[in-house]
Amino acid sequence: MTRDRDADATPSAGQDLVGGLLTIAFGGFALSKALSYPMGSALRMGPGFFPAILSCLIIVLGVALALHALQRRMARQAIEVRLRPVVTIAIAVAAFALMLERFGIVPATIALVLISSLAASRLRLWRSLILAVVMTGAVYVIFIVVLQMPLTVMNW
Amino acid sequence: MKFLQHLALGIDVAFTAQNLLYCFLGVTLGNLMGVIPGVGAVAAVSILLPVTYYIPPSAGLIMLAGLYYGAIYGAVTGAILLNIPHTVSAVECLDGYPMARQGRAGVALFMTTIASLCGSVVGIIIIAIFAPPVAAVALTFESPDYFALVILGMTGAVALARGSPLRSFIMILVGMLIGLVGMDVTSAQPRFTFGVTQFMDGISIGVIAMGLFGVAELIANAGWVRTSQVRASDITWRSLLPTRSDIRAAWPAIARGTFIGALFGVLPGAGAVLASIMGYTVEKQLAADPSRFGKGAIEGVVAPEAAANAACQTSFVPTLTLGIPTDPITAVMLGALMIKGISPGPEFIGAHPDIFWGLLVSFVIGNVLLVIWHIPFIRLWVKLLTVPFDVLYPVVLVFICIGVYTIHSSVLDIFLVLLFGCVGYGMRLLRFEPAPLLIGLVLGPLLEAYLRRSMIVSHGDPLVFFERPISGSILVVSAIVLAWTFRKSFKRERAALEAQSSGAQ
Amino acid sequence: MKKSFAWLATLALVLTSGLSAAAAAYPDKPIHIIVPYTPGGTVDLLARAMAPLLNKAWGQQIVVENRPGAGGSVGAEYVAQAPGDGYTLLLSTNSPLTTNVILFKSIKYDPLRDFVPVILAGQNALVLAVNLNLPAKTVPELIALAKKEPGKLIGASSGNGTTSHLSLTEFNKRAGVKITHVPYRGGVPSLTAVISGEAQLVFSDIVPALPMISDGRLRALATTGLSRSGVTPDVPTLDESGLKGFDVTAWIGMVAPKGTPADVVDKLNAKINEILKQPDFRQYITKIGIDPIGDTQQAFGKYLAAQIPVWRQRAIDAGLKVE
Repeated sequence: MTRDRDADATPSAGQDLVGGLLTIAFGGFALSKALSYPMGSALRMGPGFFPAILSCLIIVLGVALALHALQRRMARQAIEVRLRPVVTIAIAVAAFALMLERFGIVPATIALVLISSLAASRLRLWRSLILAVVMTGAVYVIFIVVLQMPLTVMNW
Repeated sequence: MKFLQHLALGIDVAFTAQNLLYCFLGVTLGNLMGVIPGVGAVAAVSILLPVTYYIPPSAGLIMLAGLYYGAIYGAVTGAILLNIPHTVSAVECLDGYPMARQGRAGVALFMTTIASLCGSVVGIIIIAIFAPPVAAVALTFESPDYFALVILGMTGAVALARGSPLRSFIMILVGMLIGLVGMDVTSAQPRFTFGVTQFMDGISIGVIAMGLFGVAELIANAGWVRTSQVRASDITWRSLLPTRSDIRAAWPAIARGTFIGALFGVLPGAGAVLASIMGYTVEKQLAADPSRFGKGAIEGVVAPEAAANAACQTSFVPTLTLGIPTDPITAVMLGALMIKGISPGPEFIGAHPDIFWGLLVSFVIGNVLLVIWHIPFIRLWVKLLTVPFDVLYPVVLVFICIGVYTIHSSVLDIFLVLLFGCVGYGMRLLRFEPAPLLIGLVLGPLLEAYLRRSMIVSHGDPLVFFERPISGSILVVSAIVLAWTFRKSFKRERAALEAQSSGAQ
Repeated sequence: MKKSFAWLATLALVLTSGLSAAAAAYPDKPIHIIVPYTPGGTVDLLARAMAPLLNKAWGQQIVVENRPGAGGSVGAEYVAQAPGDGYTLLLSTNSPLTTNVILFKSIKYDPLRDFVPVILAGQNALVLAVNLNLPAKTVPELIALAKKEPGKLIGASSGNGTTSHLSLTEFNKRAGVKITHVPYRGGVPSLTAVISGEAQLVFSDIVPALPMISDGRLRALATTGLSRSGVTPDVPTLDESGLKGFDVTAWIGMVAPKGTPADVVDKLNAKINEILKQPDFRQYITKIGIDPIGDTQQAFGKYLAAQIPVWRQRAIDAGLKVE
């Protein structure tokens, strides 16, 4: 199975419809925010003027995209979402962010490598452990020794 | 004759052991910073800044400059190999990464190295000849002129689009809106900040770029049963070298990119990003078959790279002759000069020929060093692609996370890169392109600021954009480019329709 | 009663001895000086010049850390939340400690409650520079010109609520004129706008404007402090030029998070005062545009408390939203 089997194909009607609806939602949200800022006049524009115009344009284009989808016959093609890598990488990065300033870069890097490895196709514990150790060493040499960045190394 | 004397003086200065050493140090460290995803050159500059207090001004300047262009040289590596751009190299992702996926990463890296060298050296020659007069013209640019330039950049962004123009237009607008996050410069009103102080200055482009391209790429690919893209036995020296047809396609693109970059570099504040966008746009417009772009067209990689490097070199013109820094790094360089009691300005070249010409010659040395330093590494970088993705993605993730953090020492930025990674994955699923979003992000706030400021300084006269010769002529050029783009795409669409209807019958 | 008093005294004794032990040991690990701006600016240059001298005196690593954002308030907020042990310090300009607190609702620190003043390192006046084609050669001529056509002259600034902007407001108020304010994104764009003629005048930090003034692309009319600046001894002050008592100066001071032991602050104050007195250091910071001050932490505390209402009034005069 190749990853980009449809890299050159035109987007499906489903992709157009969902994309259009999300675009409308984004534009609507931005517009509601923009309207809460002073509008000013065309000559002395307020902070709300430009974002309001942008949001309206986005909504219009979103509607166009959604209509484009409805115009076409709905070919049933599911949008395949792979949740596992999203969740694993999210947890790994969040753990890194929370540990970096509190515990230092060494434990944070180990956590990031070990947790994110869980998204791999096959789990190989030893390889992940070795990778974590090697990466921690590399990070230490590059960022602390060579670049001398002001990072906490380890703080238990 | 005088030029030769200056050149001799420059060679004298640049070839001292001390200056060679600092040049080497600067470009090497800069290149390293550039290759590591996310780590900006600003971080490196702030580390090396104290060193400049203790060495002569020419050596300090040579080192800081080396750091600056070394980083731009290195930045393209991540873009081509892993689809992880720095802000300057986002455009190179468009065709560089597809080339790598086709097993042509070596060719892409080799040709961008040549493009960088060419862009830089020609950029240097342009500095040497035209610096002072060109810089003086650049200073007459006012807000309406910059507004027109941004419009020109936007017409370029429309041309950048691969796939549906409707979708790329949406992405440009979304990018512009995200670019408005933060305190409004004109009214001090915080916009879209959700009460978070850190959002006052907006979201850093580096964070968004690494999220939408880098992290999204990792999420999309992690966990597929897939061995490496390239087999180690396939990497021969020959496979790294461009073919004759590559070279034939690339050299005019390099020449055009260099010219465009040199032009944009001189404008204070326009910079390398705009130059690389325009470099790409021109190539796509001139191409006989624009549909090759976005799928690994060599012109689409080398032209923006040559443009970015040429712009980087020529940006020293406003810095040195006008005392106007074009970004934080040139600002630091100016600071280093002023501490030594040397003030940049039109008289700078006359008053300190040793520093100016020494710096120029060191640019040449530095660029040659970079090529020597880069070419043997190409094989190593390409080998990187033979590493199984399961091993590669945690490594890349580590560098992205640390890199993002070092931009502003901000933990929030790490969460943001994650957020934009997830958004980028969603965009992929729905077939939205991240590149136009990034361009909207750069251009949106500029467009708004120049528009509003133009209206204030013209006391509310909208005709100001057409009355000024500079802005007027740039706007006319933009209109022509836009008309050209639409005419082309209209023709294409009609041809496609005809093909479809004839196929149906 | 007596007994409990004795008990309290003992406790106090134990506490203070504990504290002085802490001060004697201070510093026994790296000190982080937070600069709330990007590298290369005046505050950053000052911090990086001070760091090696503190390092030489105490043998501890001094880490200069840039945490820019929201006009310096992101870094200030970070230090306000740091432990008060003397190992995290903030080197700040007046803005995060005065104007920003008034301007930004979202700021979560109080400059007087959340920080302990350490030292007022120095101050820097701004320079009033005008476009060369402007007929005004002196401040009175500029005022006369501005009075002739109110709102016609355009004054650039480095951003809303910056010292550059508030200097313009103060000038408008004192001279009784109306110069239209146009903010730019930072000091350099505001200077180039005046050179190109898009704006006619700007109140700018002196050092970045200096090369443009000295080679005749901008005309310096006056500086904003009460006394002339060390880098531009030939340029008169606004006070000399007819606006009696005009005094808008930016300053740079060091503060520590609340709870920092008094003797640690004493130690920092004494050492930095010593550094500020060294001739070559004075010469260096004069070059980057700072007139060195120094003095005790109490003096800085009093000054800070007095400055907050002053900047508040200026922000109100500028028509900025004040909560």
